[in-house]
Amino acid sequence: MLTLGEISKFLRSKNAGPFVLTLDVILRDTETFDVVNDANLLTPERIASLYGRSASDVKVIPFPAANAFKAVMLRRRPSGHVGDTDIYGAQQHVPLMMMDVSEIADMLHHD
Amino acid sequence: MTEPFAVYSPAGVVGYAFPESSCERAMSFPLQAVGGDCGSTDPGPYYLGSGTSHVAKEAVERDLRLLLRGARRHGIPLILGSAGTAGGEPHLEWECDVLRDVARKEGLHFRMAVVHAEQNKDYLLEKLSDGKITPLYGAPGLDADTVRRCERIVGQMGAEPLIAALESGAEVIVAGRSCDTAVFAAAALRAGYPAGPVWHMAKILECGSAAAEPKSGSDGIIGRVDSEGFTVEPANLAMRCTVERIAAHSLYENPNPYEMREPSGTIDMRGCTFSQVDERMVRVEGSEMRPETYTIKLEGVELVGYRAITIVGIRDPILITQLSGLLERVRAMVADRNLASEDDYTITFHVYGVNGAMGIDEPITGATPHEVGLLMDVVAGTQDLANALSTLVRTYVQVSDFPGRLCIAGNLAYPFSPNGFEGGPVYQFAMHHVVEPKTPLEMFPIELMEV
Repeated sequence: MLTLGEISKFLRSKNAGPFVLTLDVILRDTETFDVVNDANLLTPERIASLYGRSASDVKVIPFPAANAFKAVMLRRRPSGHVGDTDIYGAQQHVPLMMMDVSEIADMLHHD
Repeated sequence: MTEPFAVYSPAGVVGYAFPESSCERAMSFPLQAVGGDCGSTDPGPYYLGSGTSHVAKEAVERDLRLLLRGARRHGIPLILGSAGTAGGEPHLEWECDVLRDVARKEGLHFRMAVVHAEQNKDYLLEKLSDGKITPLYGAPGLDADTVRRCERIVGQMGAEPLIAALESGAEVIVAGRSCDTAVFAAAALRAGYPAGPVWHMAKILECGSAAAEPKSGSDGIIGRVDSEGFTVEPANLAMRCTVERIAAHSLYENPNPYEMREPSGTIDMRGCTFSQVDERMVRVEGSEMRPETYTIKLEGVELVGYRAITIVGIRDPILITQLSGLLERVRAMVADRNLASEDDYTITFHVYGVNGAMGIDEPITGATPHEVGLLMDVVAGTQDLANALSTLVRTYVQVSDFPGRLCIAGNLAYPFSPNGFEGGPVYQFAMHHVVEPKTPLEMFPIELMEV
C-alpha cells in the first residue's frame, strides 16, 4: 500500500486561530502534485471521512505554487477548551498521512 | 524610495533566545527598522486570561538587550508587538518593565511609546448593539452576557497606531496585542513603500526563520522592500531561503494560501512571482493589497474553573484491555459521592498510548500497548473542589477492582510525590470576532514617555 505520507515532502496540521484546524500536504515534487491533482484524490469527501467530519465542513484548496493542498476544518473543540487534546493542533496529521493512495502508484516515478 | 527599506525580525517570538551571532550579522547590514513579535494565541487561552507571559523573563531580557543595543546603535526604531504573549494590560506592563530594566542596565535613553490593546467592555457592548461585531469562522455566538463574562478582551492593532507612534518621535514602541504583520509593516509603510510587498514581506518576517532551511522558528530573517517587490534572507549564514519555502509560507497557519486579511485590507498573493536571487535569498514580486472595510480582530477569554491533574503510568496488561470501562465506573463513583453537583465539574481522561493526542479522531483502534500514560484532568468551580475531586478520582482509579485483577496492591505507577498538581485557573476562548471601529486609532491609546 502506498500512503500519502510516502509521496509528500511535508505533511502537517496546525491551528489557524483557536477554532480552526488546517492540514497542509506539500507533495514531493510537481509531477506528484499533478498526478494527485488530476486524479482528484484530495477531495472534501475523502478528507472528511478520514476525520469523522461531514464533507460540507471541510474545505480543500489546491496551491500549485508550492505543490500543495490545504484542507481546512473546524477543530473538535477550540484550543484550550476542557477536553482538548492538542493545544497547537500540530499532531492531527496522521489520518491524512496514512491515507491510501495506491490507486495512483503506477502513475508515479519512484526514486 | 530608491533605496530598499530593510527590516530585521530576530525570531518567531521574542523570548525564544535567538542566536547572538545571527543578530550580530543582521545588525551589520544597513537596516531601517527592527521588529519583534512577542506573542500569539497559539499557546492557548491561559496567558490572556491569567495576565502572564508564555516565555520566561530571563530569555526575554536577553533577547531585548541584543535588540535594543543594536537598534539604538543604528538609530532605528525597535517595534515590539503583542507584548507578554497576549498583549493585554498586565502583559504590556510586564514587557515594559523588562525593557526599562534592560535600558537602565545598558545606560540607554530614548523616547518610548506604549500602545494599549486591552479593550473596554462598554465600548464593545455599544459596538455589539450597533451590529458592528461579527464572528470569524468557527467562533461561538456572541451576546452582551458573553462580553461581560470575559476576563479580558484584546484587539489586534493594525499598522496605524504604530505609525502614529513613530510620527510622535517614538524610537522604541512596546505595543499590546498586534497583528503580527503590522509590527514589521509599520515603519516601511510610513516611509512610503508600496502596501502589497510591505505586508507580504511582513507576513514572512513575523515567523522568523520558520520559512528558511534548515527549519527553525528561533532564528531571524532580514527583509528588504523596494518599489517593485521585496527580498528575504535568513540572518544566520548557515540557513537559506528557497523559492519553494517562501512560496509555501503563505500556507502556514493560514486558512487560505492566496489571501491574508489584515485590518485595512487583503493581501492578494495570486499574482506573485518568486525567484532565487542567490543561494540564500529569494525575491518576491506581484503582491497586492486590496483595501477593505477596516476591521479589528478581537480575542476574549472567560474563566471556566480551576484545574487539578494527576499523571501516572499503567503497566498491568489485564487492566490496559479494560481501562475505559474502569474509568467510566470511576466517573460514576465520583458522581455518586455528591461532593459537588455534576454541573460544577468535569473529569477528562487522556490515555497516552491509545488516543491521547487525537481523542476520537485517532484512526488506530484495537491495538493494545504494553503500557499507557494516564492523565486525569479535573476542572471544577474552585481550586479546593478541583483538588478534592482530583484526589478522589485518582484514588478510585488506583484501588478499583476489575475482572481478572491480580495487581491488588494498586493499579497506578506515580512518578511524583505530591501525587497530583494544581493547574490553577482555566480559561476558554469566548470571543474570536471582528469589530468595525470608526477609526484605526480609537481602540489603541498611545502613551509617550522618555526612558
